[in-house]
Amino acid sequence: MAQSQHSSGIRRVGDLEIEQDLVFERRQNVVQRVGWGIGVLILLAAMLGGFGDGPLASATLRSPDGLITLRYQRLARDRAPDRLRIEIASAAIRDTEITIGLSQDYFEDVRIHTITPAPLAAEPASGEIRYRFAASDAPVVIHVDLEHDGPGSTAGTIRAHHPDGRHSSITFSQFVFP
Amino acid sequence: MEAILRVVAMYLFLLLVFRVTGRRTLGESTTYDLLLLLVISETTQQAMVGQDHSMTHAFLLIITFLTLDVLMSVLKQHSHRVERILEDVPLIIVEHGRPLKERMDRVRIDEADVLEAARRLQGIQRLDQIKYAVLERSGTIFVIANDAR
Repeated sequence: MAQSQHSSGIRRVGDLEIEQDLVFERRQNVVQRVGWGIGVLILLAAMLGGFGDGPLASATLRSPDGLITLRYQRLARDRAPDRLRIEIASAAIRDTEITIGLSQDYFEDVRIHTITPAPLAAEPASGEIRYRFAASDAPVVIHVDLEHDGPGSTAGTIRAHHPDGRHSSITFSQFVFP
Repeated sequence: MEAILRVVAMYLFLLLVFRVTGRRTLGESTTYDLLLLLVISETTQQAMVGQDHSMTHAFLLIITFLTLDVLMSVLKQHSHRVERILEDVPLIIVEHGRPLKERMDRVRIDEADVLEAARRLQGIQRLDQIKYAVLERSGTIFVIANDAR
């Protein structure tokens, strides 16, 4: 195949004037195959929860005294729904009520949609929002349904206020993909 | 600001993804390709528009997209190398009736694809009637018949 080169990459190949470039084509093919491999790896990582929503992303934290157990997503996504599952042991119950606090900072990064069960009251107090819930003898499970508002790292602290004035706390952090 | 960054990120991401998957993806307009295009466009739109349905947001998104496009074409104009990287190059896949198998395998095309294009474009019946078949940058196959000068 006789080839001669003009400017701007147009070559003469037999009777055709064409911008063919076999060297570039071959290199490009290699790059593409590497790209496909990376794509498959990304897919696998995503299935495992590497970008949120999966076993790699889920985590459970417990406070040292075992009063609070938090199940949450270490890896989450911007504008996507997310849920915190907070379990409080019955030792924190006083007069059929429990009070938990969620740090004010966390509210800068999320929009809370629903808290189930609905709290009796929500009050701001010393850098957190305190929620009071009705409770019986059993451990209390609270679901906080929220949406992340902005990518990046975010952190929150959950406090359970003991009847005797002490409190237990858990600090958790999440990375939110854009 | 975030809106503009989203558009830029999306534009570059789509460019990268389409270049990496190769031109045969969405190159031929089969029903499935159209469906794929629709799905991709819906997904892109949702991520960019988000909750903001204001006219201002829409104007900004469109202006950003078009500006990026113009920027790309200026870059391509200035550098042949950039143009190749952004747009690919054509490839001869059949020469004087002879299919160039190694090249066809690399771009994932078989003789049936070439013959279909030949029938559609020029009413050609056989491979030996083809002078050149070229896989263009767009992913379509163009065929030059033997009696062409």
